[in-house]
Amino acid sequence: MEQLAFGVLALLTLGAGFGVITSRTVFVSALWLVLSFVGVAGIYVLLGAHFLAVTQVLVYVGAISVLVLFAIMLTRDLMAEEHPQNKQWVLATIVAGSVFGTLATIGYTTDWALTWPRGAAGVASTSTETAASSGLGSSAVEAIGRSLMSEHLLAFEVVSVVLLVALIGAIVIARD
Amino acid sequence: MSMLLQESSAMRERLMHLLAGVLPEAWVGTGVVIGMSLLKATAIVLVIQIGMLYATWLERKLIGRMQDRLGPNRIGKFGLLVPFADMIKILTKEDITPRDAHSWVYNLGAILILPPALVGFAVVAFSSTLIAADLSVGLLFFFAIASTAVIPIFMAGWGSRNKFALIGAMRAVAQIVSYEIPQVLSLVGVLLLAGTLSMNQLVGSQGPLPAPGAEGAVLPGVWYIFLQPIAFVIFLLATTAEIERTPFDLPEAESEIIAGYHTEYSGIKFGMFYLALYFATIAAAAVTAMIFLGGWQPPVPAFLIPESGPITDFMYNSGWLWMTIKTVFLVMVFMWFRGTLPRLRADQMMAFCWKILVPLSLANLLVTGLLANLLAPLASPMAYLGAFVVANAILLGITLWAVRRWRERGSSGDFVFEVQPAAAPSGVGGGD
Repeated sequence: MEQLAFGVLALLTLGAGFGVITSRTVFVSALWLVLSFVGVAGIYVLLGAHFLAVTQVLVYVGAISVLVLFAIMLTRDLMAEEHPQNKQWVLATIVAGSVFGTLATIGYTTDWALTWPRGAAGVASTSTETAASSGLGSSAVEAIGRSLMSEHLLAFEVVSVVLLVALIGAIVIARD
Repeated sequence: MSMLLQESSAMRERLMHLLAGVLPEAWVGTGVVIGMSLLKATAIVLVIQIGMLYATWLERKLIGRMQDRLGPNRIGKFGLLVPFADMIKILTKEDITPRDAHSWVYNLGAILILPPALVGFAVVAFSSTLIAADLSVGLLFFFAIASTAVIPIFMAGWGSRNKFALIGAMRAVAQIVSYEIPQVLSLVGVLLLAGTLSMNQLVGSQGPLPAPGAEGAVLPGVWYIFLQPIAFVIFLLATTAEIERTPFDLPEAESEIIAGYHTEYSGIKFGMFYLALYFATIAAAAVTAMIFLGGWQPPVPAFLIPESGPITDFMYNSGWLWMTIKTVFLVMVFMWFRGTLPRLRADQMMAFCWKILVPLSLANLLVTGLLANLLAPLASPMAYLGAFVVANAILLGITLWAVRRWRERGSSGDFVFEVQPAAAPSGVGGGD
């Protein structure tokens, strides 16, 4: 059952990714990207990382892809048919190839053993119903919160300052 | 409805019995899980669908009364069959796809508009046991799903190849993305006090009845509307903007841009947008009721409920009734907004969000954080209540003083509450 679900989700993610690079309209590419993000969120659910899955939907599907769509709408002639092709494919191949190579190397060399107890990370084996009623996922949120406030405190504070600056910047721009 | 839930385990038995005859043994467990999920989903959709039909009737009736009209009164007693006549009409209309439209983006937009409004009901607790999925991250799940509603709106606006549709979609996205910030920020204070993201536990922390699975009594034990009144107002306004109801219905302002992003849709495709609007309204009302009005908790303070007896049983056992009353009340508040408030201009809408709601919700978060830390050793509902009421009153006073000062100095020409003669007149009641 889990294998089957993983297969479907992986196919969805990869197929949508393929759609991103093959469709001829930038707007449709962006829509494929959204579907690909949804597939990744589904894989997080299978891994028992419910919090991460919900955050993925909230941040990537609900916010980042909307920004992408918005940027496309503001910068392109929307009523015109377009065929986004240019002569940069050599450069694009080099950049994409090296990024993929780096990620694949990291993925292959990392030891994927769980770094915290399985109970805390949520459960993958039982059905969602029992996981929800026993509140196991809740301790995952707690564990993430604790590690953010202890181990990664500096990074957390820096990120929050950056976000605050962005908010104030938006307000300043809105005032002009 | 609560009867249905008590039947749930019996239904599970019967389903297992049925499937055992059809499926191989290894698949029966999976089959039962899927079957029960389907049954739950069907029950929710049926209830919400009927709720939606009568929400349209209620809206016409209420706004009619507010405007000194009678509202629908011809088909059935009090016009009660009007929603069904509407359904028949909408199903028999001609189905049109404009020649220049991007056909699959256009059609898919009308289909995908529904799931974001519907899936959120999975974490709505109709009573302490009547909840489809009591996710540990339930609150976050609801807002994550709701935030995806932007994408089908974008698809509809872009796929239609119509300037008005595109303008409507742009307005919708700018509005939804902006108002998401105060909407979620205003909830952080509540989450600080509750210490949980599960919907059921959140309701359980607001009253005498603990949620199933909670250990002992959970503080603060008071509805969050009393502890966080400012957060409630911010949340209600931001939610009105999120579901695009008047006065925040600029994306479909019919006096300016025809019908916004669904200008080009007809028949049942338009029906989908109409359905999604009402589903989102009911979902927003239900979630607001759960977060701020105590959800399935009895609507009476704990010290007024007798120790035992038939009244006590009725108060504690009819959570679904309290939840329904609170939800319908909030739906009526949304309709009341629509009946009384004129539509905002686009710049007023943005200024109101970024200049008032966002700073106020940040200030509220700061005050809540400080107080929650200071009050932790006291730990009694009354101490919480007193301290938060005083703090919120002070915060409200400072805000009103700042707004007045701002208006007197006239530092910003586009002040939000200043109704200018050229402002668009409201188009109340014409949107159906």
